[in-house]
Amino acid sequence: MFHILTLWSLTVGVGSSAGGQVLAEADWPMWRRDEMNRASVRLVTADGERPRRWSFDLAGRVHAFEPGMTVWSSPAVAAFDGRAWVAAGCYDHRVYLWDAVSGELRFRYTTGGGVYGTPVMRTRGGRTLLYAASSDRTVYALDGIDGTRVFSTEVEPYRPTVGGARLSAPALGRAGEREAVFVGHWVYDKSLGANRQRGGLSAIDAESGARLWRADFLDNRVSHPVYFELDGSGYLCVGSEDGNLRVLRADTGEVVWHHRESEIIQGSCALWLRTERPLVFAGSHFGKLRALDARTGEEVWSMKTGYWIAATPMVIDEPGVERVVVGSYDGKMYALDARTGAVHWSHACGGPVHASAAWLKDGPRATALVTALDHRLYGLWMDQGTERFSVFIGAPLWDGVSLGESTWSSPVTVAINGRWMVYHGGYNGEFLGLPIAEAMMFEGGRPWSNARFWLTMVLVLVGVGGAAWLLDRRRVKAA
Amino acid sequence: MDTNYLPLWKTLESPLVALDESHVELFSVLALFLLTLLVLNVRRHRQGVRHLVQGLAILVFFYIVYSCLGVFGMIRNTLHGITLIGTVFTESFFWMSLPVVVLSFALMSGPFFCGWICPTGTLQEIMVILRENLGRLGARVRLRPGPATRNVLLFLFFAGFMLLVFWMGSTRQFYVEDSSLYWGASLFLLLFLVLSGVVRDEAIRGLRAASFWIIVISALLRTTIVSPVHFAFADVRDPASALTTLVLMVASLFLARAWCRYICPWGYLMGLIHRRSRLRVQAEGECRDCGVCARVCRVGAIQAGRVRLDQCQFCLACVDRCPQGRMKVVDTWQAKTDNQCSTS
Amino acid sequence: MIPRRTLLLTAGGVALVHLVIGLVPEPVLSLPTNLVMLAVNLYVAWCGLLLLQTGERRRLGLFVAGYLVLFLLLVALLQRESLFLLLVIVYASVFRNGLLLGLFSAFVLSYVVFQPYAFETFVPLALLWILVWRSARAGTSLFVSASLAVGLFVLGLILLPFLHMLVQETPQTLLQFAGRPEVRQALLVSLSSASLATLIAFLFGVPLAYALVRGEPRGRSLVEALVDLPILLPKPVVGIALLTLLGPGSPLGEMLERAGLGLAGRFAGIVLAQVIVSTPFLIKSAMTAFEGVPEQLETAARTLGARPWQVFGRVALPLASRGVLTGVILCWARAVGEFGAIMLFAPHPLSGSVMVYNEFLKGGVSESRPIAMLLLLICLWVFVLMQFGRALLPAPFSRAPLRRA
Repeated sequence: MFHILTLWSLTVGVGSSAGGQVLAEADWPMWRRDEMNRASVRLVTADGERPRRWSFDLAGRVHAFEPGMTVWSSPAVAAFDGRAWVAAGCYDHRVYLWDAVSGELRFRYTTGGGVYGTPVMRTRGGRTLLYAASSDRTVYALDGIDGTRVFSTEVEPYRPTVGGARLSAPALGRAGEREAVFVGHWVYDKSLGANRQRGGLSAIDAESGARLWRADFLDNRVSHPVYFELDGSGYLCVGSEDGNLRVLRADTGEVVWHHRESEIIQGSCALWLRTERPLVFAGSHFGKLRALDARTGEEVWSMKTGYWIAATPMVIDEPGVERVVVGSYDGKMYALDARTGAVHWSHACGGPVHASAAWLKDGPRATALVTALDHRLYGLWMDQGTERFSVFIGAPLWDGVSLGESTWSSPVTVAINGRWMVYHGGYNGEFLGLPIAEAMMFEGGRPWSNARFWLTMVLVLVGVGGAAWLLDRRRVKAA
Repeated sequence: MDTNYLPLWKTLESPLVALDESHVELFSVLALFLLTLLVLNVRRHRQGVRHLVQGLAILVFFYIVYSCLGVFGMIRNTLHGITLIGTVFTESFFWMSLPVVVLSFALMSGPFFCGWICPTGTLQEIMVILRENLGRLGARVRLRPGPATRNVLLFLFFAGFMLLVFWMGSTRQFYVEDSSLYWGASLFLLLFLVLSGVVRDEAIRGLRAASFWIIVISALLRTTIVSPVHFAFADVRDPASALTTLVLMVASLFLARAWCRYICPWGYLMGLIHRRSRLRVQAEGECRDCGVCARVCRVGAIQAGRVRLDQCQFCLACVDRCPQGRMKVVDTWQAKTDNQCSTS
Repeated sequence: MIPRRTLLLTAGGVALVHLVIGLVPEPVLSLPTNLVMLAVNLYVAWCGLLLLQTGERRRLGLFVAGYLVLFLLLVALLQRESLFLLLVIVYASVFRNGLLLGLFSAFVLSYVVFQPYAFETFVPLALLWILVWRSARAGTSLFVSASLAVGLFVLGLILLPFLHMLVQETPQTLLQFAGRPEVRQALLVSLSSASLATLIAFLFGVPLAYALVRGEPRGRSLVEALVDLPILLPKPVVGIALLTLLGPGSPLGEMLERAGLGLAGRFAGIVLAQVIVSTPFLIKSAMTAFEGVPEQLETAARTLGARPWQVFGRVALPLASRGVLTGVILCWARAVGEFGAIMLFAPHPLSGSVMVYNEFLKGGVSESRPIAMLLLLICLWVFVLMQFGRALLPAPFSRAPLRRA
């Protein structure tokens, strides 16, 4: 069965255009799939059915809000069992797996805490494991077919006093000889006796769940780790909110180098390895995107945007096009020359750009997809930075858009049986699978309006004037 | 390209942020406060020294401080820091340190933060001085704008403000963060009401409490309302904040420190603290009703020869200028022990 | 003013200590930490000098001791230098103000020691301290202040679970839940049925109380015992009894059902259950209130030609109104909080308490807690409003006006 599938996919793969092969069996090893953070994959299913638009609504079933309102994790898409699947964690403590084509829910698994990081999926020997890191300090490995728990490992042992935790998305890689899941974690314990807040990175055996090693950082949240291989050995790159960007050896957890940033590093980092001098790109709340030498941590170039960078950069490495794409809270998307940091183009979206970009090539021109805080999904032409389409994807469930407290969901793009889809978990509780072709017909969407602002402005003025008048009168009476 | 339009004005990048045990920010602010404590006692040219300190403070904030010293931000940061105790200590420290220092020093030595250090206040003070000089110039060329001219000017500024907001709103969506625009518009309204005599100046001072509680509640709801001067602290492109800063400066041109008088939420808190503070300005002895103190007080805190503690900003101008030497800085600790000695 | 020499000497001493700390071969503190420590210690030393100025040596000793305790606890034991820095700044500033020092201690106790329950412990502790401090400052005797402190402490313990629940949910979650139609419906049912039940209880309970007090009928003690009966009974017992009498299958219940007046599982059933369990509170309070109305006044009214019902309506009821309103409040609170009887007799339409239980069974604590909190908040709000309303009514009768008359 699988042989036939592979053969068929190979023929399709030859027929497709360059830039990524078409897979009948695909893993999703880390939160943006590869170390370049392109979050893009081409899949093919056994029945060859074309995906259609679907959505999964959670808006009516809200459990509890986290500060900063993390709603859905970024999706993960994989192909196994002859079909394409999309998985996402949610703040309602559950991990969901849908059929990517039809949107049919395959299973959901309830953990003990919110799942903020993208689940990762891996197929070995016909068996698929889905790893999800939950805020109950536990990494769950679930069977991809039926959603039963294969094993679970706590990154911090249970104590009655241990408080909340924030686990990053897991990353799959090799720790020496063994395959491992790497997960960043930050756990706090508020009790007086064990009063400690620790961030760190743990490596867990991907097959058995045994703890391999653990590196402790300072007491801050840790961003999603990125696994990459350089000069034959595996490394992890991870940022943390105390402003450190660390590169660790994947086999021992030893820190190779670290870079001190002056502000919170909220997003993750991107790597560009296919060059003579491999680079790490990371942005911080300082607003600077830096390119660091992946071997030494030395700064190669930096570029200042107008405001925070909470998103993760994306690297494009096409023949003749070497770019880093990153969004900033100044409301712009930037495409920079990956070698020099020179701005190739920048495009103003309608609001701060919180999401990491996804890459899409469904024709001769590539597109970068990104969501911004004006509640829209933007498709930008990669070569010129002009807008290809923008879709309204829903306003938040509550209006308190706190600046940058949360890394909200970022879109991913997938070609299934030749049709490009974008998957995105909106902060209105709706998980959306949208064919790109339909997105273009959505042109315009629902525009934002400042009517509410002006209305409240009038109300405020009337209120203030009335209050002043009343205060004045009261004092007169008293006198 | 306009990508690097924001000057990188903070002197150094990494060691200055209060994250991860690098306390340079807190140190510089503490040093500034200790220095101010010392120079509070300078008798000669005290107002000149005060302006020097204000200038120095602006420089320190502009080049060194990252966490917000804006009047909304400090309230929000304190509350946020408190919720983070026991969870992320470094961050909690980062958020709380400056507001806590300001409040503590106010408790010991009066709210001199308002009069000597607060960047929002300093900006207004600049406009007051500008107005005084303009007034002198106007007097020389016999140009004295009457109330009608003033109202027209005020209306023109207000219309300009609204147009700017409208223009801003045409390109971007307003969020809760931009709410300082409400404060800006309200300030114009209040200014108009007071200047045209519809309401009396001292009657509406209580509005500061409302402003304070609105900020507290919004902070508890975890929404962020950006302070007027916030754009100068972090490298933030924040047109609403900048616009409100502009408004409060313009307002100060019409009525000295109008922002402090009517809607400063932090000022309300400082007023509360001042009642329990060690030092306070108090009138003692015989008054000849010359009215100098009320005239030099920028916030109109002196009414009928008495200092309103909830308004006083501890600039000590009245102490310096009273011809009788009647205004004194009183140490309540000393006074108490004196009483005890005399009674026992 | 502090003498300049003392100031310089102290500052020099503090600076010297920090210089030594900074110069030892393996510094305990990093340079920036040492610097900021220096600044903070300078400030603390200045505060200490000011204390010395006031001539209170013992206080200065306490001040130093407190500083050392903070130092040992936070720097030596917990190694939280940054927290120490902040706390010591505040400590030095509030030290001389007893009220603020107490609040600060409560804050440290709650936020450092009882950290997992910081807010919940801080609020009662702070309230306790403010009240006790006020009472002590007002010159109340030590015994009374101590009684107040002990009593408030126990009250604080009662408050604790509710405060704890209060901080569990963000306002956004509450708003979200309040927007759900079924929640709104349930809350509406709870509030309206409780109000209706209170109205019914008022209409027949107040006259009954008046009759019992003024008429002194023969079986008064028996009637009183009967009135108390629902207080005594476990609420499910009430529910079972009602079901047996009026539920489906019972002759009366079937008959009413056929007549379209079925009670079980109807809104009217909820009201009935609430009336039964909550009326005693109203009757008892009303009786106490009527007993407080001097009979002479009523007799005087009678001699002036008032009819008995006029005496009731214009003399007795107004004079007893505060007590009666207390009864109404208690009755309403009991009615809205009723669960056992409603659960058995009329679980449908969903009322607030039943919905909390249902959601708890379906989704656990995290699902039911927001609804419980909404219920708590709304009931508290109504309760507070009613208490305010009480203050508007004429004060309970005292002897003073009588003497004047």
